[in-house]
Amino acid sequence: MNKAYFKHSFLSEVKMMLFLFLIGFLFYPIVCLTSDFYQVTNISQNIEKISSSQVGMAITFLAIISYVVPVIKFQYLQKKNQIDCFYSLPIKRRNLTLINLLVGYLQIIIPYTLIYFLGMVITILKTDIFHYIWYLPLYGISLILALGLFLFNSFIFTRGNSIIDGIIMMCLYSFVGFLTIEMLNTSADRSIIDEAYGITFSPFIEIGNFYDYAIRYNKHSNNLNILSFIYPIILGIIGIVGMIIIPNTDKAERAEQITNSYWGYRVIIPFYFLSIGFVISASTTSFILFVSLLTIAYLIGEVIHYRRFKLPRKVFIVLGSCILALIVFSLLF
Amino acid sequence: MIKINNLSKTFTKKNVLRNLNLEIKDGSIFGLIGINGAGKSTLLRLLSGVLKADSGEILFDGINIFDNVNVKKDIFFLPDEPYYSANSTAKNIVDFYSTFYDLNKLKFYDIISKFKLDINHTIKNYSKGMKRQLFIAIAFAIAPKYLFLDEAFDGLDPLARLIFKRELNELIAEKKITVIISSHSLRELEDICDSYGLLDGGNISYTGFIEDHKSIYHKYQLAFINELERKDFVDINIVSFNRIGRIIKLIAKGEEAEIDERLKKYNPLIIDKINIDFEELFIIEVEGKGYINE
Repeated sequence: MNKAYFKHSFLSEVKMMLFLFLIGFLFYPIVCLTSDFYQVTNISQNIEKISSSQVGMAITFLAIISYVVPVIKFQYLQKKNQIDCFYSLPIKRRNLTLINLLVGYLQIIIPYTLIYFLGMVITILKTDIFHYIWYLPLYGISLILALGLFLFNSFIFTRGNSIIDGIIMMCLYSFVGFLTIEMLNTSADRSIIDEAYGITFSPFIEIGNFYDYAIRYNKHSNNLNILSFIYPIILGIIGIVGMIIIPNTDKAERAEQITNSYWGYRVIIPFYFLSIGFVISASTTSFILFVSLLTIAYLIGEVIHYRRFKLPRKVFIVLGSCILALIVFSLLF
Repeated sequence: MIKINNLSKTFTKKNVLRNLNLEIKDGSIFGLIGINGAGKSTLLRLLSGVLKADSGEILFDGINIFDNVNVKKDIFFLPDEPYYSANSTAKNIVDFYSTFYDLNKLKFYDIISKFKLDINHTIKNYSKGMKRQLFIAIAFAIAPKYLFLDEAFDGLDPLARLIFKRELNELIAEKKITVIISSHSLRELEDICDSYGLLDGGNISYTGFIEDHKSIYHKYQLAFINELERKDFVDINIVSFNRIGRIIKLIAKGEEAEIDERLKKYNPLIIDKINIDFEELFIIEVEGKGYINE
C-alpha cells in the first residue's frame, strides 16, 4: 500500500514537476541561451576577467522551490476536508508524511536536475571558457542544502493551521538565525559571526558564488566556510525530527483554526520584536520612536495571527512584557 | 462489532463528547441523529481515525482504531465535504481510492450509470448533489466492512435518494456491512436504518431500534363537540398537543390500550390513530430536552 501510494503520489505530481521545470527553464537555461559569456585577458597587467557562468540562477531556483514544494505537498494538513480524507485512509500517518516528503524532494530535484544540466549543456555548446568539472560538486552540494531547507520548511509550514500562516512562518523563520547572530554580535559589540550565515537560504548564495568562481577561474576564491553547512544541517535535523514526530502528536482538528503552535506566531512575533528592538536600541538614540514602530508591527502581526482586530488580553500582556524587557536590555547593554 | 468506551473529546474549551458509550453490532444500519452541533460529525471522525480521542477508546472487534492500518482498511468514511484535487475527474478519484482499497470498478461504473453522471467532466463542474453521487458510488464500490456516511443525503434529489437506498440495501444483503449514517433527513433514515442513536449533551441519550422507540408513542387525531385544552386531558401523558378549533392532534406516551381507553372517556366524535414518524420522534425527544419552547 505504501509503494502503491508512493507511485500514485509521484505520478499525480508529474504535471506540477513539468510546470516547475518550465519555470526553472526561464531561470537558468534561457539565461544561458541569452547571456554573452566572455573572457578578457590583459597580459601586461596579469588580469583575466571571465563573465559569470550564471549557475547561480539555477541555485536560486533551487532555493525558491524549496519554499514552494512544502506548500504543495503539505497543505492537506491545513484543510479540514483534506485531512478528513487522508487521515481516514488505511495508511499510517508517519508513512503518509514520509512518502510526501520523498515525493516532495523528488519534485524539487527532478526539475532542478533537468534545468541544471540543460543549462550546463547550453553553456558548453556556447563557449569553452569555463571549467565544467566544477558543475558536478556544486550539483551534489546543492542537493544536500535543498534537502535540509526543504525538510525544515516542511516542518515550519506544517506548524501553521492555514496555508497563509504556514507561508508567513516559513518566511519569518528564514531570518531567525540572522537575528539571533545579530543579537549576539550586538551584545559583544563586535562581529563574532557573520550574520548572513543565519539566513536559511544564504548557503545557496555562498556555494553559488564559490563554485561560479571555480567554474570561471578553476580555483577557489577563498575557503568555503564550514558555517555555511552547519546551519542547513541543523535545520535539516530539526525538520526531519519534527516531521517524524508530529504525525502521531498533531491534532487533526487544528486545520483551519487559529495557529497556536509554539513554533508559530506566539513565539516568533515576540522574538522578532525583542531581537530587532535589541539590535536597534544599541545603535540609535530614537529608542522611543523605534519601539513605537515595533509595537505597531507587533500588533499588525497579531491581527494577522488572530485574523481579527479585537485581540485577546494575553497579546497585550506579552507585548507589555516585551517592551519592558527591551527597556531593561537597553539599560544593561 | 464497534464498541465505544467512555469516549471524550474537547475542542478548545468546548466538551463535544463526554464519556460516551455505545455498541453497534455487525450488520446494523445505525442512524446517528442530533441537533446541529451535537457532535455527530465529530463522532464519525473519531470512528474513522481522523481525530484522536482525549480519553476513552474505540474498538473494532476489540482492536483500537487510531492509526491502525489493519482496522482502517475495513473502514470507509464519506465526510460531508469530500476532498478532490483541482481538475480531477471521476477516473482520478477512482484511481486514488484504488490505491488504498479493493475498489470494484465495474460496480462503480454501474452505479454511476444509474445516477446518470457524466464522468468525463471535472468534478469541480459538478453540482453539490452530483459530487455526493460520485462519492457514494465510490463508497459502494469499495464495499468496506464499516461504512460511515456523514450527511448521506445532503444534496441528493428524491430519485438519487431512491437509488442510494436501493444500492445500500443490496450491498447490505450481499456483504453484511455495518453502516453508520448521520443525516438530518430523518424520513430517509427511517427507511433504511434499523437502529439509531440520539446524540445530545455530548452523550448518546437514547439508542435502540427505531420501531421499538416509536412504539412507546402514539399519535391521535380527535374531534370533539367542545374545544378542549391540553390541561383537560388529566390522565394522559401527552408529549405533543396541537389544536385547531375542535380538532386535536396529540401524541401520548404509554401503553396504547390504556391511552385508547382514557381518550374514549372524553367522548370524541372521531378518534383516528396515525403512524408516528421518525422526525416526530426526534422532535419529541429534543422538545423534552428543552431545545424547543412551545
